[in-house]
Amino acid sequence: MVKVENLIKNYGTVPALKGISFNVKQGEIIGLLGPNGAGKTTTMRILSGFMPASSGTAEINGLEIHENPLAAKKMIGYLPENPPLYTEMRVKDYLVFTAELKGVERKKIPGRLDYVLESAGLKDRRNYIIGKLSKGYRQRVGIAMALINDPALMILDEPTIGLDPNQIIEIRSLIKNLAGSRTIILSTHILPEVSQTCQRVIIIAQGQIAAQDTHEGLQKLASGKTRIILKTQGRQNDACSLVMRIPGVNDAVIKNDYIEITADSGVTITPEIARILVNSAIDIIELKTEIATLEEIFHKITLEEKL
Amino acid sequence: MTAPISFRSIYAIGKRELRSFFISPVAYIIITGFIFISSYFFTAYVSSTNQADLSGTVNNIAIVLFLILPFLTMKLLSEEKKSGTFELLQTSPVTPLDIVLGKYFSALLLYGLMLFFTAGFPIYLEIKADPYWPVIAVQYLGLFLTGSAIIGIGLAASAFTENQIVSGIIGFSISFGLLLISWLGTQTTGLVKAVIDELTIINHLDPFVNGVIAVKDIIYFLLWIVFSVFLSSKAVESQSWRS
Repeated sequence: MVKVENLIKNYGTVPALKGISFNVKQGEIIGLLGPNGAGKTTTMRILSGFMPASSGTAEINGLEIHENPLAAKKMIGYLPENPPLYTEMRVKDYLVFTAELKGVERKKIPGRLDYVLESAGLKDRRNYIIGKLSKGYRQRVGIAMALINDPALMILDEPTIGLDPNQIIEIRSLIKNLAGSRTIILSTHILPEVSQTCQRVIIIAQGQIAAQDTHEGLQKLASGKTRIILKTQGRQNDACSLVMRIPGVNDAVIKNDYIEITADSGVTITPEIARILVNSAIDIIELKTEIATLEEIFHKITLEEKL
Repeated sequence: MTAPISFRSIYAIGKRELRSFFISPVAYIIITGFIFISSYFFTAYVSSTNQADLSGTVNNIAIVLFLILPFLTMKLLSEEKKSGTFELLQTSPVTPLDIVLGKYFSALLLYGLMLFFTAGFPIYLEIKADPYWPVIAVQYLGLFLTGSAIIGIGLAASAFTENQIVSGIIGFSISFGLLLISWLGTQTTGLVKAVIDELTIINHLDPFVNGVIAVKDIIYFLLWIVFSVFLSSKAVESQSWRS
């Protein structure tokens, strides 16, 4: 669906993108994650056809955006970081205008208008003047705009920035509902957003891809080891020595009321632990694989990149 | 990037622009100011000469155009750049020429409306006396072409900056400069004088004011319009040039 190859972008002598390549399959929700100034917006602006790359290609359904801008742009719904709204217009007038601009067939416009007003939760705001709407509602108008031409690919740049927590939750669930057969690329510097919304994460740092994987894959990548927490009903020392015998376990340390087990990642070890302990009549209170937070991963990956 | 222009896109962009003129007070202020000033000139001219003739009024209105039209055109593209809505246009399936022509025609239509409101002048003359209508028609054509050129220049100025004030000042300076250099023409001789005289906008309006349509003058105005629109569309397109 989206094929990005070796994108390079220089602003004057300042390199913003130093060769970014990635693919996105149809129907995927991809999160572009990275600190401010990493190159997320630049990547999205190139993908949306707002500006060209210095070199490299970006294809949408086989059409290179710079070579076939008109045909490619018809397939895209792009919401820039600051929603491009004409604040003096009414919501419905603005959406009809954007539909015309994006070449939606005249007879399909009323249907699309109703659909996007419904999807973006704007039905009761259709006659409002955009300038009088709250930030959250303006963001909805922006999303409705990006959706009006029924795009195969939606590109959303920081769709939840500057919203209050309730609005963020609403917009996130809105984005999830939009997915389906649509491909969505969204950028954010808020980590939980990615784990809650996206199926795959591309971490960009300093104009390069630092890592790209599923959320789970990134967690493995970050640690290299799996950490398992085990709580037992007493007999901690027995438990420790039993666990240490299991192949793949590197270490088992007693910490206050639990045992911390370090094991090679990629091996599912918890069933084995449970079996051994139960056979030895040690009662298990808790046994869980600890998942590193995306925050830890992000910090680790972007930091390694700098060193 | 050799896509044909899309009339639908031009229409959509122009319609929105025209609407925005009337949503903001800009259109009302400009139209009211224009009617007020030109009515003043008309009354002064007719009462002093006592002739059923518009030529003096047309000359005065032309000067007013130089002062007033830059206020109309200064926001055309610069405002979109400033507010970020340019990003919407730029990422929509429209060509730079579609954008520029939509903008141009919206301002032209508003200007046409301004001229329409001055129709009271010849009608007044018709009621009171017996004006020669073909000349009046030619005079209006001259005014329309002059305004079209000024709007073109203003549009091009707005394509190069996101600052409306800068855009307005550049547009005003260039078009007013084309008026002022007539004085230079009187101070020079030979080829320089010939070139300056040909450049001077008012020298090409004069024949229209006298009821004469010359191909040369029409071409002069058309050249300014085509050049301005071309330059504006290149400025918009330059956003998508590889650097």
